[in-house]
Amino acid sequence: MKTWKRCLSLLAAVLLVVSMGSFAMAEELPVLELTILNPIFSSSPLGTVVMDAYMERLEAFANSELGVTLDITWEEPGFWDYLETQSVYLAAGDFPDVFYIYQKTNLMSIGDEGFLVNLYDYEDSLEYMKPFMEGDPVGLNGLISSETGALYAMPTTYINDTQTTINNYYLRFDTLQANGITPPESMEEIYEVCLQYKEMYPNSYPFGNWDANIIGSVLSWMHTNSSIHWDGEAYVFGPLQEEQRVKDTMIWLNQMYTDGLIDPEYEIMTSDQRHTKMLDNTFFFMPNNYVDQITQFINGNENYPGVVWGTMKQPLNLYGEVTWQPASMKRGMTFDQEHFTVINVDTAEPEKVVRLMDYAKYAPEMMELVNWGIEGVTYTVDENGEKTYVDSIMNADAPTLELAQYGLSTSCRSGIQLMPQLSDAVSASMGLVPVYNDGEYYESTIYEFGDAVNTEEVINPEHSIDAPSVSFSIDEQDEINRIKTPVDTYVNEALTKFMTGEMDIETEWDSFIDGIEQMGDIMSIVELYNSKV
Amino acid sequence: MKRRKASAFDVFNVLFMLLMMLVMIYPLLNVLATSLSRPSDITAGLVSWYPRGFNLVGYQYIIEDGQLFIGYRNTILYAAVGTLLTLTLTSLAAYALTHKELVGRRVLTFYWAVTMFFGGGLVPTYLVIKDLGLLDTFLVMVLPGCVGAYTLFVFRSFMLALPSELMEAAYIDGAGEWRVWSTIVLPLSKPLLATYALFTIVGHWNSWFNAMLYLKNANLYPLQLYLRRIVVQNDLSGTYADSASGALIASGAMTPQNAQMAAIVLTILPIMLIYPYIQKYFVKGVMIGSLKG
Repeated sequence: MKTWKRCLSLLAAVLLVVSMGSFAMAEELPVLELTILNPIFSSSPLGTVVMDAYMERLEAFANSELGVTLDITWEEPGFWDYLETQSVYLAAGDFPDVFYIYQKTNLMSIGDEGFLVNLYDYEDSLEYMKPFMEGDPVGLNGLISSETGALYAMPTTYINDTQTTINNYYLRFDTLQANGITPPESMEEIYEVCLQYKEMYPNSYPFGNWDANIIGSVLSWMHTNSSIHWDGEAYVFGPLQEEQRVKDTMIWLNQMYTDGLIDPEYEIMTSDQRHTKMLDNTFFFMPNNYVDQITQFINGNENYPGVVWGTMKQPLNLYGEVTWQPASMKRGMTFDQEHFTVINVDTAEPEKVVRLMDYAKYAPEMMELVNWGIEGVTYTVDENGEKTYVDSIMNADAPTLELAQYGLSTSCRSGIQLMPQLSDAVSASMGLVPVYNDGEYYESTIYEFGDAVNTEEVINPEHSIDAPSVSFSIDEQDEINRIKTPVDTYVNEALTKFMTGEMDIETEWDSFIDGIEQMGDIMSIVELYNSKV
Repeated sequence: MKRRKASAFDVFNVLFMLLMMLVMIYPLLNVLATSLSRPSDITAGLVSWYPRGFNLVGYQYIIEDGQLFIGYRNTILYAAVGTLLTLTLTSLAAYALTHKELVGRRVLTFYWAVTMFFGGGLVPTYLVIKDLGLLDTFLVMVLPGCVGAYTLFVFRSFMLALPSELMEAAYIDGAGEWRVWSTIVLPLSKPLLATYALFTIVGHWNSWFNAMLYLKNANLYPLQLYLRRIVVQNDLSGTYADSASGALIASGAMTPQNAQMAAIVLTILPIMLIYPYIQKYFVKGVMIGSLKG
């Protein structure tokens, strides 16, 4: 009996100790509830390998640094739907704790009305965003409200050790080699070679374009623009202040079009039709195209196995200048000026949310995770510290799409709205592209090749790291829209007619210039732009 | 009986109608042909009204994606529940308006009539929906616009035209309003209910804007919103492709048009199969609004 009672007592004591331990364990961290609106492009990244790892790291940070546990509700509208409905949500004041805003005018409008957290109130909490703020002071300046001096946005960012873009000048290498033609290195040579191609392929339109804006592409080659742009020193209006450049561009384009070297359907083609024309001997030269389109959808096409498109250094324009790349990366750590993560001013515990988002978007381990993935699973690191995606990804038909399985593509992008993009990861995923330089055809990654053959001269001043980023008040934006929109429409329509020959450059150019001045006081808008620099 | 000789007008009429028929059928044939054709022929622009080759990969992708069936499920539910609600609530409200002794009848009629000409606007409507707690719920697809003023007045007109003696007899026999509505008015309103059931079902079948605005949960998306994503918005082979479509396109197994046209065919097929049997009700329904009230 006594033994039995002793056993009972011992059991009770053990139970008491265990329950006290459980009680201690049950003393949980407070919960930080957040609703995050995260527009997605196609499939949700939730549930992918990388997104699960992302959430684990976020939770660990919240536990250790903020003393909270997270309860996140994700709202994932389609990105393109969200762009259409964003204005309704913003007008209705329907703001989750953390959400996405597109375009600076919306950002400043909502922020200046007091709906967004001013990040400068928590500047000490921006541990990971600070290097970007210091690395891109011009970009940062463009994000500060001119009305309140506040910083509302955590923008998309880039870390680039290159100035090269993935959008380049492309040529049909296989036909050049088969016909013994040297790749043209200037606009004059392009015209002559296109004439040769027209003779060899009478149904072709040798000079193609990736999008409908072939005029804009060639104006950029000629270091000008059909509207207001930054020329390196000031904002200028191309047709008035760089009139001769614009005119010479249109003369060249008109000659190309009249000689049947530009497709009359250039403006209405779909991207699939352009793909076809790149394969079926219609197009042979393109002032711009994307490297992933070339390497993954054009070259090696099963139905057209012999077709090889490749790139070379930027050609010279009619003035002997190196043509500008369609776009340029900014070397270093830089801010995007269109896509922003913002925090609702009414969120509970804004400081904790600021610190959480700072870590979520800009911490090096988080950026590495959403660009490279998980070491050993999606990438490996050699003895020199260089990362490479695993063979199963690089050997896939479309590596960038294979990465999506893990949550690592542009469409299935893990993280919070357009996480910072690392150029080394992008370069690794694009694979090798055919290139030509100094008489030699070979293969290279696009960034290595671009950095090797192109100089700083290929950078459009608007894409330079020193290019100003201006923002306008709502009234100023209304004034800009009132004057600039009809002027731009008039100019673009007239340039199209000059190219197609519907308007004669020699006899109608002066009246075109006079017409611009009658459409509106565009120079007052240029002054407004320059006043913001 | 002497057969009437075809006049020149008859010949012209038949030829003209045949031409119109071809013009209308050709796009449908092109959609079907593109959905079944070889990718190389599609990108070469060789597909017209008949398929070139035979390729079911587009259908395979759409079916395996699964979102199509989620959209179907949701749309059928929205159509069924929405139609039931519309018919029930509209007929109840219309029945009440047929009673001259209803207090505030004129005011209510005017109140509803105003909504036929003026709307609150997108943002105020959104705010109302939000404050009612309907955002991102099933009910947001069936409740807003459930009782339309025009439909209400058509119902009222129809019910006013019913023989009042039937109702009076029922009242004399001790029937209450619910009994009269359910056992006399509704059965006599069958043609009206059938017609507006069709209109409402088609309306729900086609709706996408409310879904785009009020829904963020993809599991609630209706069929048309999915179709919009595939056909109108998404570049299936481009930067924002999902891995499955991109891989199929990169391998040459399909083009984006294979998938887009397959989605269109799978979406319109049920309506096209049912419509021949319900067409006469649509024709009748168009005229029903002309009844004097």
